[in-house]
Amino acid sequence: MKASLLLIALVGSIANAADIDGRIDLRTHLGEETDFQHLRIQPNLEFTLGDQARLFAELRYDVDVSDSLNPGRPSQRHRNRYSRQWQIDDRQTLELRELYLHWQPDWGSLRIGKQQIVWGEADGVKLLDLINPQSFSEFALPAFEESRIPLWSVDTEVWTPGGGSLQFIWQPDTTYNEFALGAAKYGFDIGNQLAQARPNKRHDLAARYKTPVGRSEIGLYWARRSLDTPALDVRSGVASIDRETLVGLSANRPIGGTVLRFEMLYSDGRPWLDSSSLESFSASMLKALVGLDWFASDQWFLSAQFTETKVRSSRSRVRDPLERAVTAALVWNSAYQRLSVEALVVYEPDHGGGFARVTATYVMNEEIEIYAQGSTFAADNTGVFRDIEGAGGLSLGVRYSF
Amino acid sequence: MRWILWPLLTLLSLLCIEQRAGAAEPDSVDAVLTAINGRPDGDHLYRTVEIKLVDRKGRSIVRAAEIWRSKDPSATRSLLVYSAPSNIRGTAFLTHDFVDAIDDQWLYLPAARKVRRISPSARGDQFMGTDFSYNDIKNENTIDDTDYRIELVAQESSTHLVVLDGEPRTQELASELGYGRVRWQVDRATWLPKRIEFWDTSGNPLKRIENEDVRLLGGYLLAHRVIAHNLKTGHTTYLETTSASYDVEISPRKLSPNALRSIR
Repeated sequence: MKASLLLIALVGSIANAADIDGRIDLRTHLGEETDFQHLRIQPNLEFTLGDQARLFAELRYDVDVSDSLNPGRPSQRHRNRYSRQWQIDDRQTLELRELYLHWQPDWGSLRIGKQQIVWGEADGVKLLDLINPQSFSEFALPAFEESRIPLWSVDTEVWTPGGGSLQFIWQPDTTYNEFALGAAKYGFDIGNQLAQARPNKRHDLAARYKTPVGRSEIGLYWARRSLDTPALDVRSGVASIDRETLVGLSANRPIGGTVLRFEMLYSDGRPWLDSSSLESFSASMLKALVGLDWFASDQWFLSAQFTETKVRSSRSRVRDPLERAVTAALVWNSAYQRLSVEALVVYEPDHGGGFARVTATYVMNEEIEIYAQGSTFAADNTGVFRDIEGAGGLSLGVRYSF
Repeated sequence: MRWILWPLLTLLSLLCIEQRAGAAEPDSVDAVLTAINGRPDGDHLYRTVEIKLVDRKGRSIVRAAEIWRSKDPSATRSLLVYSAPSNIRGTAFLTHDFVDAIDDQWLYLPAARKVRRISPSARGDQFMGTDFSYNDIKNENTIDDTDYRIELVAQESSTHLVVLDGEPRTQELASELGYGRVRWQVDRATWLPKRIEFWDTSGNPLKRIENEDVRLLGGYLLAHRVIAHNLKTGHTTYLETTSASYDVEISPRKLSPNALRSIR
């Protein structure tokens, strides 16, 4: 009896201290080749623990009505044991998306638990944003925050004099990117082979120093980590996860009505494919991005980025010694921000194509938004876009926030 | 004789009152501006607000936010964090307005877990989808005579109002601010504008802002209800202060871009 009363009192005080909100997202996709319907319920709880700490938890429940995004119950070999989803049946999954304790003492911030950590200045392309892997079950169509896979991590940030900060990350969870398997709507031919790799057992370590320098903000990065994309030996069909050491640099600076962004990273070894021998080999890589955001008015925003990758290798016939990507985003908000339209174009000539996505969102009231998203893919006969050329279409959805 | 004593006494009292008011009442534009701009406003202010957006058809959207503001001789730093509705909860806007340097602004979107540097908004731009402009928020009941040529239109003792007209000093400033003319009706008891009327650059009535429910809080005057009504679109923004305190110490760290990532 005493225990029951204590439990009731505890639950009551927790409910009192907790903020509960979240969203329900229902959408139907009318595709160039296939249609699908999808329901997502994502509630979160936040407990305030005194003035300096809080506990945050988020669940994600997905129903893939037509079972076309991840048909059946695909292997979760790419995920560490404690990061796996609960596959209720072929169509339903439940996932503990985030669960962390966040302590904010005067000297900085400490976040322990399953979480998302975002690095870098880039939009829509991943250079330094590599602390968490990504799910490509809908290719690159969802916003990164939707498709990013949160990992069990310890994230410490210490304030430094002059308005800077020093961040240390320890990540025992080495879950890597999720690729849609061959039969899935956004599946790749090699998806099944890539998904055979086991996560590397060695923990990841990373550090960042960020500081203002005049009107610019500069970031310096270092990481020793497992790669998020497996290396595939085409001859043997064996996929494995390699390790890399990377250093990076980021900067931003407002200039008039624009903001100039820059990001660069050097990796001591990423897997590449020798086009003559079809053997996978490791080579160092330098990748740089320049972006410009133009805030044309309170209603128009234009962003453009150019990315270039150079591979340093003694092999003469490397498939992709140089990779380029161009992205452009245009955002329009109506007066009072009830209606917004966002267009994104990604073109990767060295991967044989690109895609375009246009999303219109209308805010009906505080709880309900309706949206429409059109997407299309273009591809030549080479590269990753070939496999998903017909995957575009129109999505119509309604989002309820509670 | 008594019949004449009472009216004389009344007249004398009124003259005294008028003379007292007149003594506190500056009689030049510079003195009025000094009184308005020198009104004590506190170094630190924390408040919670409700922002109600009502369109011409009467449809409304209500948002709640927390605002921290810190002032020192070199800059005003302020942070706005939305607390409701849940789809924008945690979205934060940080601004550093420098006296002698270009302003800095950052936006934090909690879903993206990313602090985004944004270019300082044009002063005439809409502030966060409301009927206020960035300049309305930045000046907050003060009048910048480097922007406007100010003229003292009236000092009405019956209404206790001082009326000032302002015209942007140059055509470029008019375009930048989005206003061709501004009229401030200032309560001379508090030196707080009661009503501000705006005309567009073509001379058409554009907008009015009204300060209501002025309360003395910790020695400072704060309008607890500010209404901005756009006469062209018929849209109105109600900014209601639900709680406020000047008796807070806001550390510079709280208003730094580093701290944004800790919001949610």
